[in-house]
Amino acid sequence: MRKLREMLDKADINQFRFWTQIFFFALFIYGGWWALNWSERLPVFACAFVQDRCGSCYLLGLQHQMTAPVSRMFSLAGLGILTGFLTFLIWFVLLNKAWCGYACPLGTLQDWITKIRSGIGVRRSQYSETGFKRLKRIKYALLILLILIPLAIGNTIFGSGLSHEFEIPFCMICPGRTVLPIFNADFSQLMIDFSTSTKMILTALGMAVTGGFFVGAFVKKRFFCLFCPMSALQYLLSRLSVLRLVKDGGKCTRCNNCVQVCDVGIRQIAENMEKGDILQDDCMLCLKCVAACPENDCLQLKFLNIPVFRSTDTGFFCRMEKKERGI
Amino acid sequence: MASEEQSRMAQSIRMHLAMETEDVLGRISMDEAPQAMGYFYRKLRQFFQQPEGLGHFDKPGIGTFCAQVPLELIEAAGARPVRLCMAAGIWDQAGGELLPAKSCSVVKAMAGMAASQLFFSGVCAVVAPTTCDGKKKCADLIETMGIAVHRLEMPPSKLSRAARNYWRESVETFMAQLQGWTKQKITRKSLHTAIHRRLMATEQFRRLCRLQTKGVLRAVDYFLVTQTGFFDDVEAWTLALSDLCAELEARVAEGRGIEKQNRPRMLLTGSPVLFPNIKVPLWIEQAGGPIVTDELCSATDMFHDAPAYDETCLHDMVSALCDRYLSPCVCACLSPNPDRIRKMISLCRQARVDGVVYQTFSGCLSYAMERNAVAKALADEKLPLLYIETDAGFEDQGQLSTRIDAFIESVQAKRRNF
Ligand code: SF4
Ligand code: SF4
Repeated sequence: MRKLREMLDKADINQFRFWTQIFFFALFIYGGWWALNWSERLPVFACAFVQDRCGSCYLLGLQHQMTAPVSRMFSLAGLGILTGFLTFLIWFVLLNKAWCGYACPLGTLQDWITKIRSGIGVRRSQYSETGFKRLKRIKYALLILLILIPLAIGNTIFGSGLSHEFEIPFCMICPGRTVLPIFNADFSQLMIDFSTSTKMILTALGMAVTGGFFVGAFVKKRFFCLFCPMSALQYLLSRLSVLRLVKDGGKCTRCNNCVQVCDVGIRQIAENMEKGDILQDDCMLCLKCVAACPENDCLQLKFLNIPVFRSTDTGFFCRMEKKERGI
Repeated sequence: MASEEQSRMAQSIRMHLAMETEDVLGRISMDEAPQAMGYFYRKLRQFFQQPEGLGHFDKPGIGTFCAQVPLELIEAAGARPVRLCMAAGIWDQAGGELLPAKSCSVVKAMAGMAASQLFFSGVCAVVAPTTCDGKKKCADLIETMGIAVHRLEMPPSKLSRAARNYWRESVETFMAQLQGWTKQKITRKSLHTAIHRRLMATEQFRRLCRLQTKGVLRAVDYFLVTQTGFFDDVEAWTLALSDLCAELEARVAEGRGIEKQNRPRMLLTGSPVLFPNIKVPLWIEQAGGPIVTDELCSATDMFHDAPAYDETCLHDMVSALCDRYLSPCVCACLSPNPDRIRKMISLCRQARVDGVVYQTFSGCLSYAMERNAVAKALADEKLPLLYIETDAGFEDQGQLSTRIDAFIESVQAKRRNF
């Protein structure tokens, strides 16, 4: 048991994450080859437009369900919505936001782009602290819109019902739809649909977002995640999860190492000395901060209250030495 | 004529300094000393008795004040940092001619050191962070003596965004100045190496601290180790440190030296312990209270922290260094300074401390002013505190050691009653 603890303390979390991400990427993009089908309610962008996927993103189903008239939602259809949500919740509760850091194929893709960037020696750019705070709100707006717009189809919100072309508004602009099928050699989503003007606008927007996705991910780490409505939904529910990131403020020296290594630049992790549950909006539970914290047990990842990974002095130096050898 | 007088003065100060060092080192009994301590005694002797030996280091020396100068940058620029905070009584006296008598011993000693031109033979420039008023004015004074001084501008607080940006810019200016001095560029590679070296040193220092909490190393020895770290080559220091740790670990394994564990365990805080002024730790230990941990800018505050970064590019490494030297800093010159008390309490809990000794140099206002807040926080933790005001030199021995004895006795009595 002590051996295991020691091994975990010294674990190279970045490497572990790298391989886990590859595993999930393969699963979500090629899992269909092995006739795997997990669920249609996954809390990640396992995009439904990918032919050989093994599961798909909850947001697609949610948007579909929202197109029903409100009156129907309180009948049998409501049950469908509820079970859909509960399935999603069960998946989510298991891994919390680690879905973002370890499983989401779109997130993985961004991390690979980051690897290319740092590999060729281009330095990252960062948001100013105030800019960051403002941008954070966008994803909540998107979340609300992706529920409201479909609702306007089955219900008369704007006088008459909205066209069915708005059925899955978020998917139309999501880079998951355009980019991920490429890995199945399917380029069909990479185009602008001129059949109707609505479709044209939506697909054109989708293409623009896709371009922004690549450029953004090259300049900034996890650029797209800042706008991701799935991330917003997850954060709203993160309190329910059995996987928690906890901090013991009494042990923190405010060395700021955690902020330095955080891909999304979360300051609270160092600055908040009171809060035990330190998981923040935009955090993806990548655990880099835990790995970079040199104070014993200051930061911990707990599953059902059992520490799975914790910050240690020895682990910190072990990892930093490995880094030195890496250069 | 003036210069002749100056050199005569320097000569006399040097003699006194050599005597003072010998006197202090002579007070340390050698019976218990680990063999590996020999390295540190030797280095200190050499440093204080043949200071021109410094000039023999092959790299230019850059003098530093305080604990906020990013030493890695100096090393990456091909120079060698020498922290000039040292508190010899003879320098204190010499500095008294130059600064008001009420200034603190450290500041006077540093002025005196500069005036006697010791150490400056090998030091081509001085970096002074704008910490307390005394240090700032001391830097001004040193500059008038014809020594190149760079002021590393420090924000008065560390918590705000403005402070962080200010500090970052200040460190970048310092980098440019450094490269100008040494004519050597700080590269990604050189900085990475420098950081790595200091990281290894930190790792060993923490190892020593863990042993320290077991009470196996005398506090005086501990402070001689940290003092040597002020000027020694970091790799040589790390090596000597690891030898020392290995020897102490072997002692622990044999069960030697740990009997002190059950004596009243002390934490020392306040104004720094600076060689040759190691009297307070000396007396505390003589009174039978091992110092198991400390919150001093000459020891843990200087050597405990280590930077981390994700990508090894120059920009991110510099950014990590900026944070390393400002964010965990608990110097009393900061306002507000909530982390100092937090840190002290955390140390007390981790090292199971029984009592705290708070020393200030007379004239060190910032530390003296924080005393009440600290005392209150410690009282909440039910920890007794002894407050001592002192200066360089051994004149107050009688009075101080009596108070220390009584304090440790009372802590011991309290322990027994539990
Ligand atoms: S806060 Fe920690 S776990 Fe969350 S994204 Fe930042 S580094 Fe990763
Ligand atoms: S790395 Fe750990 S000790 Fe440092 S600021 Fe973050 S939580 Fe605190």
